[in-house]
Amino acid sequence: MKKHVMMLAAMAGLTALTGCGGNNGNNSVGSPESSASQAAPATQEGNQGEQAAPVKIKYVVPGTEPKDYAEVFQKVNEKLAADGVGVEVEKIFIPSDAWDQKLNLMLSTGEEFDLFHIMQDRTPFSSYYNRGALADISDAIEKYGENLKANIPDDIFDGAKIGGSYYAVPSFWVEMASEGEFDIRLDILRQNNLEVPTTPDELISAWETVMANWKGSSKPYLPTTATFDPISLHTTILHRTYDTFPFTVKDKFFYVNQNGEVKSWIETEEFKKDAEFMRELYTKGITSPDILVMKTEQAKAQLDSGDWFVNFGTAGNLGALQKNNPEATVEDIGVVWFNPEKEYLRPLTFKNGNAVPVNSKHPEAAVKFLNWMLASQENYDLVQYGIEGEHYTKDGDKGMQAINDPDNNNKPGYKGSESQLGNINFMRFDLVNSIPANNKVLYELNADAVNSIAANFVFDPTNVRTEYTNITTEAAASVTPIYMGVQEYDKSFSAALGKMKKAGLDKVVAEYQKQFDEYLAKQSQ
Amino acid sequence: MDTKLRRKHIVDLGMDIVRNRASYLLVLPAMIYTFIFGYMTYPYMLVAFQRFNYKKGIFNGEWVGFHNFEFFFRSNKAFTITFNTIFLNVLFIVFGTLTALAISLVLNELRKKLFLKLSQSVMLFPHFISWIVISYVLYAFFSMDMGIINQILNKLGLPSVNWYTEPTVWPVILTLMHVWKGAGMSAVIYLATITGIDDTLYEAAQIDGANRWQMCLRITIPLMMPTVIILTLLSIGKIMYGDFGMIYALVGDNGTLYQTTDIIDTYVFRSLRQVGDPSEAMAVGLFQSAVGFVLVFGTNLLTRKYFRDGALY
Repeated sequence: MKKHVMMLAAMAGLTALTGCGGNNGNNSVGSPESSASQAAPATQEGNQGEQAAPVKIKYVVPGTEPKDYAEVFQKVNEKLAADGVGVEVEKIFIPSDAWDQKLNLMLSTGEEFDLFHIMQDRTPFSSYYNRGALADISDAIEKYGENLKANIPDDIFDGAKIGGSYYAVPSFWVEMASEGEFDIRLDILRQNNLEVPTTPDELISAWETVMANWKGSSKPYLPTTATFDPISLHTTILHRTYDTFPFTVKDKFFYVNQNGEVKSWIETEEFKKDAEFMRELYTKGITSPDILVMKTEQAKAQLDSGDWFVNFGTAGNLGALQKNNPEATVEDIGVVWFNPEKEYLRPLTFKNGNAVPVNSKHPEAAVKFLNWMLASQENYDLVQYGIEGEHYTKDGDKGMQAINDPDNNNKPGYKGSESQLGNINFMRFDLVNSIPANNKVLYELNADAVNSIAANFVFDPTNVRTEYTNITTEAAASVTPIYMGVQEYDKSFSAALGKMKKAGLDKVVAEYQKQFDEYLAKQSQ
Repeated sequence: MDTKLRRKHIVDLGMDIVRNRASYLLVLPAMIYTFIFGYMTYPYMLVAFQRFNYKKGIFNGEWVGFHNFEFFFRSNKAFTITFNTIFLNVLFIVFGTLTALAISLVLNELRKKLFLKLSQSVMLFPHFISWIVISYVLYAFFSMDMGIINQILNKLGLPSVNWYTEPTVWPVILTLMHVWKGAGMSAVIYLATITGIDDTLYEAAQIDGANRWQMCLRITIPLMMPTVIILTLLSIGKIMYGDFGMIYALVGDNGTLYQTTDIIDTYVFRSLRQVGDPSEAMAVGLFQSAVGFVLVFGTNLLTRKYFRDGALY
């Protein structure tokens, strides 16, 4: 009997094998059309794809699918065909909270897609590069990237270069020197007879007053989730108040100042000061007592409800503000920099971008699509704002008004993402709903700003892979609670540092220093 | 002779399949499933000993020996995490089994059909709620300023406790949640075993003057032991696999609780979410499987020695 069962298992296995083989490559993120994309490359070669069937590319992005996505992208594909680009685009949406794990899985299992979004404040693009996940797109950019080159400044494009080759296309959608500001609610300041704070101490004291006088049930806590990365948390607002500014924190662990000095960030005096500030917020009840378990959507919901007073970084729109204060106007959010007279620094040259995975069969088609988008305002408008008259109306050269869809929670049925595909030269602003102060700081170039000396430096942790994995994991466990102020620096730090050192912090910092010195030497040549 | 015998076996198998085709058809989906998700994944174990390259795939990677195991074993966490994984699972198995047993015995004594069905459904219900939903319920109980528990404490004149920063209470909370969610389901299996017990045994006992408690102690529980042992053995096989869905949903990225709640699965997930190296994940997976194998084998060996009827093989 046992033997019989074994035989049967073998037979079943064979059936399963053939079943799998036939399906190979097509079982990707649920597109019935994916089989068509297999056939395309053969016909596309040689004739630039003008007459042949278009190359279908899959573009993987974080977020949820807008209600009218299919309708808009049908138009996008029609326009791409009409313009003879020879590319057809399908977007695949992955919910933001599942982004890292799903994308990593797709990359490591060799799933076929052609373009994906990069958020450097979450995962530096070098991290994908170091895993061998990115395709070299230098040739494609050279051949098909004319509009990209024209609309993305060289120093920003250089940030996507590793060893002289391009591995990503930066999204030039935001002035990175905006890092270091915070948004404050001017209406709430007025209600409490407070002045705009100019120092961290004044900020805490104003916030305490607001907290004490707050009437609503949801308190205006700092709307954020826990992390130990100052760039992601935007505690860079404090750095401007330190004598040692300008400096930046790269890749979460490395303090780099403009003299090229590298230090272990968590061991610096500046880290301590940050942690002490955050501790004060925590003990004074300004940070949520449950900050360590806050989820991204909770923080987002807080901002959407208008129940906030200060946000590190930019936030808000009129609709959300009016939920909390019906009389609020777009002028009621102010942008504050501590020590505004100090230098403005870009920690990275680009935060968002798009890259082609190494398994893509159509890297040039992905670049063609990105390039096409910047070929005309019309193309850009279609991808970013949808169909004119249905999703938005134009409002002058640079303005637009979103058309709210009653069937979609009274939000526009389609909206592209500025961070994913935006470009400052083409961007339109919602003149009614968006916050002018934020638009200015985000989308106007700051001529006085300088790039961090390490802005375009890409760290390769291959030589210290074990240690790098371990410090990353250890930091989430022992550094985050201290940095968020839940644990007191003086009491907990030495133990945490001990664990970090044991996990290999010194070795990683030394490797970083070594690679950075080499990079600087090469730059000066 | 040998070929003859083999041919006879094949013919026998064919006949057997034809004769019992319905039974074979029933087992087919499970076999296909096991084959695809079990045996077909074996080649991927190679990745644990390679520097996995996204482009080259699993057969052409560069060999690195045991290097991928280093990140786990050289981290100062290896012991704590392995301990947590086993400790939490032991708690789950012991309390889960005891509660399920108790529930099934009590349900067995119930005579009102309606009440029996109702209580069974109520106990079964948590099994179908996802951990994510439970995490929000738990948050409603334990959050600092809005949590029900803290509000009760405050009403009693006691200060609020920030539960989400108290690692010591979490093994208890996790065990409670696990038992609450799983006991109803396991009780159904035990109840089925009890229903299968020969009624004549009880009748004979009754004639001999045994009361209900004695019957329970001398008949029901001993006859349930094989099932209990098999289920426990199966759980022990998975003792190195923490309940990732549960721990990740309930504890998430809350570093202050890792000391008592971080298990191999969450640790690896966290490491790899940021670094994204499948080789290291596979290395740890292999380690889990190896230990799980030794544990099942060992426990079965012991069971066979001391309780022959309960052994799996």
